[in-house]
Amino acid sequence: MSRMNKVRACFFGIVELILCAVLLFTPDMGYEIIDGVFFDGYRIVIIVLSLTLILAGIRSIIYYFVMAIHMVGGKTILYTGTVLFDLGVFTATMANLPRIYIMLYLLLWYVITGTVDILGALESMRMGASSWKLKLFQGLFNMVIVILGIAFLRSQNTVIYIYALGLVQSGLIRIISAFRRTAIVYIA
Amino acid sequence: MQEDFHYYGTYCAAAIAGYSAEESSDIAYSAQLVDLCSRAFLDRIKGPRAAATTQLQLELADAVTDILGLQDITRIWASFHFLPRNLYADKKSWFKSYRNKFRLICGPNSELLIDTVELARGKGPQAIGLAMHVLADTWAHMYFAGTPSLVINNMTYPIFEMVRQGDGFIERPIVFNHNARGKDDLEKGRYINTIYQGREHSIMNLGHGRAGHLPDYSFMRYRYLPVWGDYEEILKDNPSDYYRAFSQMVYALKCLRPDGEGFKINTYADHDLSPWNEDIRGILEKRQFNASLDWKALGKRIAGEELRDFKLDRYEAEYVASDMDKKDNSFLGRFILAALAQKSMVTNRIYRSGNLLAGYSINVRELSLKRIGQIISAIRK
Repeated sequence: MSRMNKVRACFFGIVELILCAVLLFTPDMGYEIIDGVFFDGYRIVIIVLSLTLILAGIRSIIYYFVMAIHMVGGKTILYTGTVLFDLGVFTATMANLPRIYIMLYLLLWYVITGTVDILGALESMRMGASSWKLKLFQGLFNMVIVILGIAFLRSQNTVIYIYALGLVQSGLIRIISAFRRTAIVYIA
Repeated sequence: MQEDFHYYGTYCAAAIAGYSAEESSDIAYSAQLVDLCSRAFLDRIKGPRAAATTQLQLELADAVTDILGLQDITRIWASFHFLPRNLYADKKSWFKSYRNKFRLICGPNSELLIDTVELARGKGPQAIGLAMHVLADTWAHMYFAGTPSLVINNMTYPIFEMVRQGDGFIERPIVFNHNARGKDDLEKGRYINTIYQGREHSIMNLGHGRAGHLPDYSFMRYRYLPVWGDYEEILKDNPSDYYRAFSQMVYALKCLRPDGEGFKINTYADHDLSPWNEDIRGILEKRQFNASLDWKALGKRIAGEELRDFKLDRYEAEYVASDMDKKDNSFLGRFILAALAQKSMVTNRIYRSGNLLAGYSINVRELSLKRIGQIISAIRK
């Protein structure tokens, strides 16, 4: 991982830890950031997630038209960008729904990322890469979060703590990954 | 390409071209040094860091991929390992950023190759060896660019390896593995490559990292769709390409002799290879990780003397012990001067083509800078 990518991974890890703190300490309180509009922990998480997805989508779409349009298989980058943008917009519309739906939606994200991590870990294991254990742990941990979240769905504060635990794990793994040595194939 | 071709193979080529065993050894040493003259090495001998001709694994892992970092990487890899084939190549694109990357794709017989070989004329075995490394790599690294780029250097799968069976070939899909500490498995067709990274400037997308060591093995034949090639398939025939590289090296080495003619592209010395043809083709076709022993034995038969094994520290003490004003005349001093001249020439050509991927440059030759100190202070200015 290059220095810039380490900084980026650390930054996103810290953002996740801050979001976790926001959720843990302000689950029921509202912040009047804009006059008359109250934001609580749920909605802040939703807004950050939505903005991240929208920006990632726009970035991929621009990259497609500037560079990847000429690349064999480049259309996957356009599709990825479109799906990310669409998901970001969809996520933004969730902000006004009752909390239980927001929580279910956030848990759905854990299902998606958990599944991707587990599949990625299995592929890495098959390919003999060394990073599969950490990936598998991350995927299984996400699935445990989902199961616990659904089990305690009626107790909103418990679900928040479970979700926050997931954020801590994800944030810490990002920061740890930033300091792991990445092996690359030497070309000469 | 690896030590087997760059060191022992270059020794054979120089001996066939008529150089003495000692001259051939110096040329071969310099050719191999290009793969090892990293910033870490230059720091150790207190040489100028600007003369780096390669980046080690750890240096690459820690490389910054912002604009200046990318220019630094491109200056090193495009100048010494992925010499661009055509800096003015026509490619329909709305954006210059894509065209600039496309124009850095490496290939043999370019105008830049003429400049590279001619730059070495009259500068001694160090410059000649360095030029031979660049020339040989234009064949091995064909179709990849010496700059990190997903849209140029990524690979589409499957890639099929052509394995000889009886009088013909069978095709089998290649399985890639991302464990950089692992080893290629020639029997099962499992090879190591860099992991997919969707970011354009990821260091994983530098050169042929995504194709692993396939371009480095002289026996390898494979077909694949290059991501830049508008869906046209490429059949990469390494034994044939490596033979062309060897033959062109012999021709270039003959040109660089005191009585040699001017170097022309698309010209080879096949006639001079005829006494050794079967041996050379035999080595190139043999499925093995490292052909050093075979090349070494052939070198002994051609030159009459066995080439000593390569040792990076062979000339270190001489350079370190030299006074400042005498360093330029030491073996490593001459190599450093040749490296600075080559890097300056290629960077300058890229810059003049309107492409800033390698950054701004000074032209060492036009400014008549002849000493390491002069060049370094000009770079600083």
